[in-house]
Amino acid sequence: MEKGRTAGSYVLYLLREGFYRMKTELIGWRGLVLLLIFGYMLLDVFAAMKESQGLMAQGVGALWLVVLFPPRMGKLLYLLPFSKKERTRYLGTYSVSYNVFHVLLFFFMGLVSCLISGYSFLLWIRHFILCTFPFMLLYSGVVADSMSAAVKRSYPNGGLFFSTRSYWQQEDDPVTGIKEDCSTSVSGKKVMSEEDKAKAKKQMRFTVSAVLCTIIPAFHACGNYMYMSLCVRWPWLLYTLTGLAYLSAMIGLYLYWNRISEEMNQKGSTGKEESVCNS
Amino acid sequence: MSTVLDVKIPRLQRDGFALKEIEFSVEAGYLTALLGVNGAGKTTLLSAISGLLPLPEGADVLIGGYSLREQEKEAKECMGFVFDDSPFDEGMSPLLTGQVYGPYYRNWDMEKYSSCLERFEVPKKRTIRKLSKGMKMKFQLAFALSHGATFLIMDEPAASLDPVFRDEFMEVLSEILEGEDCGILLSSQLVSELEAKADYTMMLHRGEQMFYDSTENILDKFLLVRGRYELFPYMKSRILGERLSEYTAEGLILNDGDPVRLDLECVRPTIEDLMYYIKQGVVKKGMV
Amino acid sequence: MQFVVSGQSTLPIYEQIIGQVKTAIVAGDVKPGDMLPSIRALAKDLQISVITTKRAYEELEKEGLIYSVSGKGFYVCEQNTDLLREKKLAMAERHMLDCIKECREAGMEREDIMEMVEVLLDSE
Repeated sequence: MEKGRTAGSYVLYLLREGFYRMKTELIGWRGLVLLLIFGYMLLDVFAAMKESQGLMAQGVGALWLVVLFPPRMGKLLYLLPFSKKERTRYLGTYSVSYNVFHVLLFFFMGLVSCLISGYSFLLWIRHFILCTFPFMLLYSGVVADSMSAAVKRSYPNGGLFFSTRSYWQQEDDPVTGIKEDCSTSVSGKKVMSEEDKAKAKKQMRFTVSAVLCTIIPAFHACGNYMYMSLCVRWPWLLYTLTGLAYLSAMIGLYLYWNRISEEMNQKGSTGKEESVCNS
Repeated sequence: MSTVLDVKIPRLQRDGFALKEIEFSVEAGYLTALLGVNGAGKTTLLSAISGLLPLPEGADVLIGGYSLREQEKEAKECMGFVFDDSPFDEGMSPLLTGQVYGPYYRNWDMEKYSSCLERFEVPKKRTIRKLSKGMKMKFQLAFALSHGATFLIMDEPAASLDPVFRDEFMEVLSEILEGEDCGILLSSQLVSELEAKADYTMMLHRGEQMFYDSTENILDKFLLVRGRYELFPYMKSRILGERLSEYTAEGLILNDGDPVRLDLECVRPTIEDLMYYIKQGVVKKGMV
Repeated sequence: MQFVVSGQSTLPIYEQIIGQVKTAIVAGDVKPGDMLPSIRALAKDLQISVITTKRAYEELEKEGLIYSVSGKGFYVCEQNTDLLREKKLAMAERHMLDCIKECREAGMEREDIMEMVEVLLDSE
């Protein structure tokens, strides 16, 4: 029985979990969806052989693949006996492994399609690096973020939008009429405090930036017919757009990494920052 | 008697709701019930204790003597958990869960886990998703008991269980407590079932600690008077709150030893009765 | 001895336990020197708090009905026969008072009550 945790045993446990996760991804109806994606890619590669234009479906295939089901570790990440360092390491290893697995899977499907159709795998990879990879890169941030959010912490809705749910859920005491929350305005209706307004603004800013940083690489990865033909015609356009896509992905990753750090390094709030409240 | 949990939270704010002046502890071998009406803050408090919420300055939670702020890992080693919505991956089997997550605990005992699952008659290899609610609860309990935890935290563990299962569950808890090396903190809405068994009661209301004491002491402090409503005015100054229906009248008074009129029935309240009056707002913090 | 406690009764559980132990002693179901179940075992068996059983036993000990040997458990005291008789008489008196109350509620007069007692004693 291994007691304690050496670096070697850590990897062993992750491997075991890793095998389970891989099995979950590849078996059952998820496996069927994978086959569909593979089929679609195969057709796309055949089409690309005929007309010399970009592999349009590769991006779509990638999007399907990664967007399918980001893992959610949930509360367990915070309930298990991890020190903060261990938790970060676990989260990092998990996210990276998850993404590497998907990329490899994707590569494998691409390789097989190329072998079947005779399309050049090198060209396939080239297209991947130029068009598809930025999005997959960005999405690793989404995966990590999804995993680190255990409980709805500073983001009340847990998602992209700030919710005022907490305001209309609390009622005044029907007997004594005592208003508990000191962010109540004189008229009796609950009002958002300055602190929460700031939080809402911040959340909005994050959402807008994150969405923008996601749309650009996504569009670049599965741009439509017009978009692709333009890119093929003018390589400089292609490289510029690729650069833009990578830039967005980097910014997006940075934004997510920032949010994850904030999430993991959160200090509890006493709410004493409210100067209006005298309790 | 060793203290397995020590909670001190002067103030914790979260989404427009605040926990205030929480201070209580749990001893090994005893069951502390965490009670309160919906919205009182039970889940917030439990999240703070189990490490799901970060603790602010001045607040600390000690589990098995280890501080959750400074010695997070050691503190969590001492903690076992059972939640109504299980935090475990439902796609795994109990056996795999033990193999994957168990070893993260220093004192993980796979044999004990295995025999616990057998004793609870939980199918080890079936996916958790396919287990009945009662089995999911037992599986969590088996996991919680297999790493030498001294503190067990439970959030509505019996909420979705049928009465027979609830009985079984309570029996298992009784056994655990008998061993005197574990202390349990259990939050539940099934107050009447829990009342007799709870050694200590921590009552939360609007985020504040209403009272924390042995259940016996708390109930000793109050009396319910029942009888004809016309007689109540004689006791008006003592009656804190009333509950009236068409045929009966009931009032809550402090049990300070003063005699009560003979034609009024005088009984000890149950925790449920108390909660009704707490919700009315007539029971104040300092009364216990 | 057997215990039966109910959460539904108006009596607090610890009082129910005290009452049952007293009854058992008076009735002779438990003899002096008999060991009572341990605080924890009783709590587990009845599915109640260990503080409740402890309280019941402590009260009984205060009243001189049982004594504790540390490390071992609680035992029934040697009962003073006079004390025992007194207790039995007290119980009988209580039952009688309840009886009289019921009779009064049924509208019986003093003579009616006395008549009933005579009849019942004769048929014993």
